[in-house]
Amino acid sequence: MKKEPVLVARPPLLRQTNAQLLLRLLRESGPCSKADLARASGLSAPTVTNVVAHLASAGLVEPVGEGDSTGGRPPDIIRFKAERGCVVGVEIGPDFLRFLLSDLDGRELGKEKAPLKKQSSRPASVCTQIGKEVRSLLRKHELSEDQLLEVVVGVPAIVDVEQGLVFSLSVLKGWSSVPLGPMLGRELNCPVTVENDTNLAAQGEYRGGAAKGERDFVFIMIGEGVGSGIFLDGKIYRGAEWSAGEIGYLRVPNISRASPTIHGYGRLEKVLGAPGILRSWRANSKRSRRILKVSRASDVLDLAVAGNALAKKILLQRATILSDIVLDLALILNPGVILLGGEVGSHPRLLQEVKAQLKGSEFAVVRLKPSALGNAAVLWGAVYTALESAVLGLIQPAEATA
Amino acid sequence: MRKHARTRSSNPGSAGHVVAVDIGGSNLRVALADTKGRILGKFADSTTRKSSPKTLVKQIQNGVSQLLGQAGVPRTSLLSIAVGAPGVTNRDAGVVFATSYLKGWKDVPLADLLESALHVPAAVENDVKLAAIGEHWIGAARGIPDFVFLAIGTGIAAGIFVDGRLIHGPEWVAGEVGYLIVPGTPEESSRRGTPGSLEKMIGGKGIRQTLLQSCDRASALALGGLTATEIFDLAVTGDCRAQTLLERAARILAYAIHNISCVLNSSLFVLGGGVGTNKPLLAATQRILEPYTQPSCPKLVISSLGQDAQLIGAVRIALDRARIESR
Repeated sequence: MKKEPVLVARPPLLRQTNAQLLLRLLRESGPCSKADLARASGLSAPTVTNVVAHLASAGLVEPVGEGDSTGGRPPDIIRFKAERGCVVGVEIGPDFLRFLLSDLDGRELGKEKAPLKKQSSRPASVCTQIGKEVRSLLRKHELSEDQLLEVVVGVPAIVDVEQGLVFSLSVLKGWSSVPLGPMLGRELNCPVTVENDTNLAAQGEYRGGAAKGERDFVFIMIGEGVGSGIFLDGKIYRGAEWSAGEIGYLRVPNISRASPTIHGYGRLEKVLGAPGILRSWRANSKRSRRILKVSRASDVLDLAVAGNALAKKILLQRATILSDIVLDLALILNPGVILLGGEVGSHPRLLQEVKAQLKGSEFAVVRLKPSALGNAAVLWGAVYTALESAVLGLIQPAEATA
Repeated sequence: MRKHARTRSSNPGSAGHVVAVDIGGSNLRVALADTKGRILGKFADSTTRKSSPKTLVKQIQNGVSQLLGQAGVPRTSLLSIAVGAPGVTNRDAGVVFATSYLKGWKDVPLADLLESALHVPAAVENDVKLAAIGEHWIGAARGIPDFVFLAIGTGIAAGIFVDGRLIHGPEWVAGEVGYLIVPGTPEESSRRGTPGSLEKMIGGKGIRQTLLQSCDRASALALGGLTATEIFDLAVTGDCRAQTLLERAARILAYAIHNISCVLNSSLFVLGGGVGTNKPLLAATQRILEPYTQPSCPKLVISSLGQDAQLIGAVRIALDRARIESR
């Protein structure tokens, strides 16, 4: 009988795999002994000792003293050194920049928000501003710049993630085919990953929010713009040309019916997004405008809850459009759940109305949930993404010197 | 995942054969293939709406016996069988949940039935998804990781590939795009034409009805006796009435492809099915989609495997079931 060829793993590769495994187990369990790690991993005691030595030399683990004896020598307890480095998640918005600083355990160390002024919103200026804010954040938390291991940036645009290239940002001027990844990499002197903001929000909800454990889901974000992040088989699906989930370009019947001659691109986004809701309110509420204070789209939705007739009409129309979108996504992808987020999307009254409209439909049998992380979803998604590659990056150099 | 039926172990690379079956609304096709995927013989039989699972399994057994005999292949050489079912199917459990083409088919454990009858591992998959698998393996989507196989015939459904894998969704209904709501036609006067499902608009029986309802009496009289594809073919010869109807159908199809494309950003759509393989429809749809290059600009082609796409897909999953590597 023909024998199957046996794959002989090269020692460095095997060590790296084992290092990743032990590190994961240690981070999940908290401080524990080498014996615990051997038991949990199935690796032999000498192998564990070997790998732990490598991790220690990379500054990723350290002994914390002796544990309780169960009969023999008290075991050495080791811990993951989450403070070995840090990562930063960045979100670029239409008129703001947000930052989230985290240790290697995903523990929040600090947060920052800064306004993005129109006159300094071109790519080079934004990079400079991000550089300043990140360095200031590190200083504030007594971290040195070489402890910054990775930065991930979420932008409201289609992004070539491999090249760190932002195709075009509709909300900011002068952003067309911008190599943001390399530019920020030079500014911050560390690895930078650029990703579409809604994809990051989906990642955030998957790792620490309303989509935990859901391998197939869609995160719909309705705020300034309209977009979605698609998760299939436990990871972000980007499409053949980086633009999967661009639901702002969907043509749905209820828009066509309302204005049949206008089928320009992004028509849906103009109606469903926050600016469109405000426009509808201001165009029709001349009398009540002075009495009722409305500065944001969510104010209009709150007024609908309070019973205002115009606000209710606006809410109903948007809910109908959103129901069409949910139906399209349900039929095409059959996701396990669809999350709604963003200033408009996360409004409970809107979710309630969409659920009511879809109730009778045999086909849109999909669970609808609000996002759990609110406007921190993009930042947390950025941080989780950064953590993955940051820790990997720390293990690999140890192998190079071995 | 399914347990394997007890059977002799397969030895990849050596002689062996698999059986592929395509169950349709009115017929059943069985094919015998070798481990390289070459089809050695085909068998066809008719089915009716009333065909029960037991009847079909017997017909399949009969077909297999005949094909083995004709090809001079011993029964012991049979490694596996794969079947395409015209309905929502749980690929892992080998269960057909429901199908509108066969009455009374509800939660049918078809893989189990086949394994008991033929004593080889069995795989069952939805027929449109099998066609997508076939096109990806050796057809129009060979080597394309992100594409959609769109079947437009009696019904409308899609087989969707992302990152080189077919998606099913947790409830096995990914791709049921026949139920997508599309606007009524024409778009210029939204007073007439209420939105309807895609399937109602350009699928099977619906297509003739919808198209003819939307045109004037003279056109309806002139074209009423033709099938949809005959109307489309006529349009190319210059018949104005037929041209208007072709435009209408193409507009609806373009709309659906655009929307699916916004979600998936697929690079390719492969059109199959009786209506989907019509060349004038493809050309008209491509023309309408031309200006819509954002966010996606997928290529549109007609299925290269035609009627055999499902059967070839079944050969592929039969080979997978028998653990034979794909080239």
